[in-house]
Amino acid sequence: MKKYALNEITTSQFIFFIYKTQVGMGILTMPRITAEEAGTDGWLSVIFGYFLAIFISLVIIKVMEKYPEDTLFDLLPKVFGKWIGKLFIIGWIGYTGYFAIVLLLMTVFIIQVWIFPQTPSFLVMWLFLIPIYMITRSGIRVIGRYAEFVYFITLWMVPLLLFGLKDAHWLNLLPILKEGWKPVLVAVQKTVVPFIGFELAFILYPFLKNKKSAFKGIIIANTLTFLLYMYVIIITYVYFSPDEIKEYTWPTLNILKSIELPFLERFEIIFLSFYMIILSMTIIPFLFTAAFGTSKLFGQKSHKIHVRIYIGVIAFFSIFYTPIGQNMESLGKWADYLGIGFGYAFPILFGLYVFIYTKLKNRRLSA
Amino acid sequence: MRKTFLFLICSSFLFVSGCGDRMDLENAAFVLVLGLDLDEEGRLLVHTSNPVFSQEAEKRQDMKKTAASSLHNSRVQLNAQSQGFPAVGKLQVILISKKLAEQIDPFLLLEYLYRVAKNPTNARVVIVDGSIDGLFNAQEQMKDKPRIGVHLKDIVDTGFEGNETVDVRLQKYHYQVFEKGITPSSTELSYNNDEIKITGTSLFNSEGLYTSSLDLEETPLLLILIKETETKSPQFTFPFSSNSSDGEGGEGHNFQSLTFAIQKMKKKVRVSVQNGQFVFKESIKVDIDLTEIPTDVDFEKNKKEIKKAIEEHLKQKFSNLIKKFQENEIDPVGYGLYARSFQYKEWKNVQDDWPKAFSEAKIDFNIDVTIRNQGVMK
Amino acid sequence: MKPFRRRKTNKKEIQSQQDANIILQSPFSSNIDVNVYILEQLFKDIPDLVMRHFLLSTGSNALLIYMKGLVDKEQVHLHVLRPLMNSNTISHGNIESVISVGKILKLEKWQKAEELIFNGFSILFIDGVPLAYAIETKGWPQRAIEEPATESTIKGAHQGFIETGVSNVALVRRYIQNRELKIKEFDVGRRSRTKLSVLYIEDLVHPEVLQELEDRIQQIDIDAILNTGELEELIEDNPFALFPQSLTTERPDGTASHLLQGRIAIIVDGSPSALIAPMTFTSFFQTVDDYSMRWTVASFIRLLRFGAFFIAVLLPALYIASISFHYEIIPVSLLISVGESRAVVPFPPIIEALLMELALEMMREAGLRLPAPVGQTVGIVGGIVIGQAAVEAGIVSNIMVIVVSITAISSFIIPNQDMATHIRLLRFPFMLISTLFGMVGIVIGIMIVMAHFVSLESLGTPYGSPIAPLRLSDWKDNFIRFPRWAMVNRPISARTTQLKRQKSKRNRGDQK
Repeated sequence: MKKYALNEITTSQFIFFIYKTQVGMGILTMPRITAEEAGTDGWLSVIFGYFLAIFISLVIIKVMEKYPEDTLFDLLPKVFGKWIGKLFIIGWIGYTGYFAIVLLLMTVFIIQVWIFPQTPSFLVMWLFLIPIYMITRSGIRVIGRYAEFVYFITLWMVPLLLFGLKDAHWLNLLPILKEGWKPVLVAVQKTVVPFIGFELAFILYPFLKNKKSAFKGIIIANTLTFLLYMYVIIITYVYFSPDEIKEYTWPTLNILKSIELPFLERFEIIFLSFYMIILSMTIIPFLFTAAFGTSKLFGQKSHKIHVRIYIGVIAFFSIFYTPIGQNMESLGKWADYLGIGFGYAFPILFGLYVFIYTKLKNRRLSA
Repeated sequence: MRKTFLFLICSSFLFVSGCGDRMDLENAAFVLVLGLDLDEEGRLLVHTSNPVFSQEAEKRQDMKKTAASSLHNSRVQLNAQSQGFPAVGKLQVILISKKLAEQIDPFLLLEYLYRVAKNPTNARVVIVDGSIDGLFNAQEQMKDKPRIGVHLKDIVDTGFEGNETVDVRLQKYHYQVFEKGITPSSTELSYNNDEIKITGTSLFNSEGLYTSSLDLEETPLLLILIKETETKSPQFTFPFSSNSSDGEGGEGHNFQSLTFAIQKMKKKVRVSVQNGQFVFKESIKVDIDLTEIPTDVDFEKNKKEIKKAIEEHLKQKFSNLIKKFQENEIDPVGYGLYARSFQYKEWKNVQDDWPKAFSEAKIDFNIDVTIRNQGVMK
Repeated sequence: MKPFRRRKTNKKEIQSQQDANIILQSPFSSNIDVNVYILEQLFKDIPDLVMRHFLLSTGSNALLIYMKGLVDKEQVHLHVLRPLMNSNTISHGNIESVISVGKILKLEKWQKAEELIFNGFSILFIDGVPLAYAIETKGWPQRAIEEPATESTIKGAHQGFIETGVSNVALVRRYIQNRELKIKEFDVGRRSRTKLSVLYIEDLVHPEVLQELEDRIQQIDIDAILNTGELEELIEDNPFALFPQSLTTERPDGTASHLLQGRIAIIVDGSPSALIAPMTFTSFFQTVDDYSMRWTVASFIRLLRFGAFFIAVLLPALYIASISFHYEIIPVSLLISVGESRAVVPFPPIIEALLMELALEMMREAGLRLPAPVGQTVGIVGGIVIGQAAVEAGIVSNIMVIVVSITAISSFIIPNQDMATHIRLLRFPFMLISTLFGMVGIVIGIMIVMAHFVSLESLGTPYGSPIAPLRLSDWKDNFIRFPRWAMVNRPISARTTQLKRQKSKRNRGDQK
């Protein structure tokens, strides 16, 4: 009796789903936020962040293996009882919904800063919401396909950064561990949030066709993300001076800005426009999870109506709210806290709870 | 249903049509050259030039001058003057007069260019020996030359390729200003009524003020040290006479000289600290092609001697260059990067005043020349 | 009075139509005179029906009817009438051994007789026999088999489908001489009774896909289907799709190649093309010629086509975006020459682009419908007017002319006509959105197309395969064509049940 047989996703869809959810704003801001804490040793922190993410991902898969037919939203009431379970579901809806909205606002904000300083922000927002709506309402399978497609259509953007190596100062990376381990470990807390996205395995797992590949899949997804982050961070570190890099809000874009080809210049405009595709694939999964959560909360089968409500509300309120840099910062800070809470702390605690819960249940059954 | 939904949204866009960022190319007055100068009273003078496309207009370019307190301020004033909205998004060259650079750190004036995302980072930073007004006027008289923006860009780019000057764009200038282990440098230009030409490299001190220049002979040496020699290999010439040669007159016989071109170069810097003084051991391995030998010198016989002479010559040149840097307390090469990478503890003590520490440092050159070929003549 | 009378006659007709339906359900009479009467009633005002009365040697009356023009006269005269009239040993038991024609059916009811008459059969009635014999004497005017104009090849076969379904099936069978090639026949259209032949290779095709197609065909309730395009619209998954979801081809070898990949072909009688489903997006960029060329060349041409696809959809939009919003991305020397050519044009870029694009589309359409020599004239006139005069008059800039012509050429590279047309259509919304929102607008447009693309299905098979859902093994015959020996498997995207393509004789049905 498979609940989600109709919407099964393949292993590669699972991988790209998680990978593309993880890769988002991190590419643009991570070089700066790691350099602020750990200077040019920031790349070491990314390695720590990666192992942490892998560890949590494995915990999640371990938990889900016990209930292969249930998403988190089916599982919570089962484990905690109806009311506490619902409370947790609401928490998750809040978390994913908040993430989706913050990412949307950030996307619009960054577009406004770099490309359209004089266009009303709600127009960009509305425009951006159309494809997001079209994908989100179609369910997990289509999102999975979209993730794959996004991967291929944005593949050309990765090697663009290599142009930055023309002005590389590899000496910037030396000496390694210049200030010891402490700043590196402090910076780890900044690197864990860009890995957020693997926790959606809580939702994805029951949809996965080949459940045995879940372990492999989530490790591949995390590794792809990690490699991409390392690539971007190393290139920005060697391109900018260690003091200079903190001056730029989005250092990655500044590298692209100075690329000059005989027929094309100023790649940041093209890059950033196409980066919206990548960002959309971070927003869509969170929005979907939120809509999926509310539909579960009210016991409805289809999440479409909820997607419509979310999109409608966002579209309406975007008329009255223009993203401001300072607000973005504090919104982002809250997103970081929520991300650490729901992406890292929750899986561990939940895993422990489920572990004890099943142990007790089995003992009671055998007794 | 979806179609109608989409259609409604699209049409509402059409009506709102709120994209305020649209600016058709032919209406935009995009500034290709920005010149910063001081007038007699010490006020900031901002010059701009943008191409004019209209066929009715006689002039191909529009040159303007305003006195302003900051770049942004001047943009407002220029806007009122021109038919189109001045956009610096396509800026090619930033000209800074030497007079200004000696008194004010130009970086402070360029803040606007860095902060606004639409502005370019690829504009070439150029110091002009003379007033910018004069340069603009001189260029306008040159009827056979393209518009000033394109003209200057071509001159500077040819300079980069010919190892006549350093390739410093806004982005790199920003890097040099913020990197503690290096002091800024930029292209230097001079002009007369018939010609605009590159004269070498301008050097700035740690306060960002202009201090000295490198001429066309010294610049390639700097380029070698910062490993930025372009595809065209730098050439060096010095008078040479062999001891064993039985030439007619020893003295006064120097119209024939030895010329060589550097083809391949490997550079290694070792840093150590002795008694609080930085010691850099720079070993440079170069492959050279001989392009000219005095006719009375037999290459086969004097191979070793030639090699030695070249090594001595280069060493002398490099040492003189470093001496010049140290006297002016500047480090355009970026020895500070090596100091930071390999002597981090010591570096931390001096990082905020690196050029000073550098001026007291000792730099040894160890040059190893390999003569790759001596041409088609025996 | 007049309208009233008219209405009355109409009513009478309907009454006779109802009567006719009753008659059609009834069996033949053994009395030939009754049959003749019924025939006269049924086929009133159909002068091309030939009724030939004659006497058999047994002395009984006989009647042969056929439609003039739908039968092969020679065959009727020599192989039907002559033996019947001359034979001495004839009786109603051995009629079939007298008539020297391949296919003879025994009919009992009028309905079938009516159907067969219009299919080129001759019907024989014999007095005293309550049966009719339907003799296959088909022979209507046909076009010769020639190379299809829209899909000509350089090295491939030069045969194309014609308007007769039976011949088309035979043409395909010439390529697949295998009893696994099965055909299911359907009659669609209440009036036209068009014959559809669904061709598939039984051990390759996915039964679900076949079932889905059959269900959809059976659900069609329509007056008439005259060509493949009409059928396509009736059975496609998404009527609002931006891309064609099934392929129509006029090439038997192409059809055979698709069948061998596990797809299904539908041949519509009267239409010179086959409909192939399920299709994926990328398979529209393949031609039969790809497989007759060496793989390196074929791969290059494939990549060229995909490049052309992006150019055809995006180039005008990118041009508009870059000169209206992001002129920063154009290098300065190019920018100046663009600026100089734009300066004389009084219109905003979108008007300029629309002018040119629409002029081009009109010229294309005009050239298409006109006889060939006139069509050429249109091309020359249009070329001169648009290429030269418009630029000199300052109505369009010459850079725009270049952009539009590159776009046009790119759209002509797409091998499939349907796809090419859809792509041409797609670039107008892109131009519009780029005028409003520049590069961001274009990317939003791309995202909308992507969203549409990933949710589109063809007969329940994902249209975006092998990109999304990702099927790496299918990439061998996609953007690059691998050498034939490397393509061991059939594409998964076609949902075949038997993946192995080569050596399949030895391990038959290994995937089953």
